[in-house]
Amino acid sequence: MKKQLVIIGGGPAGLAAAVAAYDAGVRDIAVIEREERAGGILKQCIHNGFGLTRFKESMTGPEYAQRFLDEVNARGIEIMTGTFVTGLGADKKVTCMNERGVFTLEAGAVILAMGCRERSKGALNIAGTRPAGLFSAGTAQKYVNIYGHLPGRRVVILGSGDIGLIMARRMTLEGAKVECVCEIMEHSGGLRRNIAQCLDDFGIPLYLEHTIVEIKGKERVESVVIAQVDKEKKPILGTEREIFCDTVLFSVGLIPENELTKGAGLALDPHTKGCFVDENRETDIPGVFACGNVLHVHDLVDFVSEEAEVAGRAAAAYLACGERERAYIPTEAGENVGYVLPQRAGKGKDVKLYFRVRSAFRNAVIRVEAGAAVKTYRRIAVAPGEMENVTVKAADLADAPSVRVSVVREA
Amino acid sequence: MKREFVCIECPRGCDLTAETAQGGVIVAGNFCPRGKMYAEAEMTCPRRIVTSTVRAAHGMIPVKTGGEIRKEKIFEAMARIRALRVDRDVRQGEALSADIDGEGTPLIAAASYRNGER
Repeated sequence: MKKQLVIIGGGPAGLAAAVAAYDAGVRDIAVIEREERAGGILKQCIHNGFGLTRFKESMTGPEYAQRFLDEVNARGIEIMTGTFVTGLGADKKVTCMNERGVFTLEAGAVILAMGCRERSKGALNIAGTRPAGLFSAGTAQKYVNIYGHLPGRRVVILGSGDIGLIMARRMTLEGAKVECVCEIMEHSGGLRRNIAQCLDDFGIPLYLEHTIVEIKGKERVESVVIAQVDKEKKPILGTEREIFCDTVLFSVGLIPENELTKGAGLALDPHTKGCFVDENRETDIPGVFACGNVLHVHDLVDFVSEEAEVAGRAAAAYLACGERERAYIPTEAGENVGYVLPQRAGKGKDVKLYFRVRSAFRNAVIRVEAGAAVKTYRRIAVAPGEMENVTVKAADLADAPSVRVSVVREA
Repeated sequence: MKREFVCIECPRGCDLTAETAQGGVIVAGNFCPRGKMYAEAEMTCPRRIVTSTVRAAHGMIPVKTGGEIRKEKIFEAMARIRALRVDRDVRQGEALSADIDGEGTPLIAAASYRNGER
């Protein structure tokens, strides 16, 4: 079966991309969603705070998702739910599977919007037994918010990413006792306001530069041993402390889910863990685009929607005009910057660069060097958990060999 | 009394300082007016939106308080939320309780729910 545009993933990225592509003229669109309902992870993110940037109001995850679902439905865009994509070829053939069987969609253009998954406990190499009671924070969130089951009564959380912080509050509200949150870094990876409203509000301690060194318990978790870590992140002998609990939640990072991307032969950026894209979010395969958390893990869904719309419009332009020869300049991460996205920018137009800083500090200056042109932007505070962006003018890009973003302390 | 806290109004998370002075609160560090209002409320009567879920016949319905409730009423509201049961269709935005905090704040469904459909 032929489809003009196939969008893989019906979460916030896929839905926004579908609407943008439709509004740019594409009519033959299929959004493929493996779950029974579209909306992605927002379905279980019942807390508020979504949409402040985009809609200037604080929405819950389900409300934010519904806003886009309504737009999709109003346009009559097809969402194939309960459908799993098993393969993507460099020829843009999308192999799908659902209860009706296996079928292939021959796509004119493809938008990758598969999102990300949680880094698992297995990646952490913690000593001890393997009892019940160990969950990733997102799995616990699904148990509580979708299925209505409380996975434990006495909880220790490893990692202070936003999902861990949100779950500390959620479990507390549902009657569990959250003993502490341990963070191996010297700063939290979560939003500052989440530390305030999810931990401080409920008197939950956050132990920075601490980790779990042992999990005890046979059938069920009985306790964990936590310890302070040194500069090399190695536990410091003598700082161990046993904390009794029946549940451990892991909120230790998100990884873009790029199995299909790799299958299509696309290379991944070791810093973003997503593929390489230009400012249109077009990958190394013409007509294949990527957006949202599959491309790089975002802090705010508002930016996911924005990025997805860029990809959606660009896919429509590709379908209308085909492949075009373009001149690019590479973007580079300089001092204190973990990555810059997009990795290359087409000449001749303004480009918005998204990036993450490596460490948190106040009174920061963002320095954007494009050849001889140097622009600086001030920020009150920057943190690795919070994505930053600046827009570079086309004129500044014209003769530059590259664009380099660095962040320094104000002199 | 002088206090410092992180503003929770938006992802920016401003560092606020608030000091009670004669008849009012002096706020510093806020980027926008919402930060000033937040700090003033924190010093006098801290309030929060509470989000949770309500048990329905075939799943959970996400809910939110229809406005901020007093912080010390959070667990009282949670007890009421936990006691609710839904066995009918619900539309997003509909009130599932007219008063969830004992002070007249309604509880609002954050998603529609079709009874009998998971």
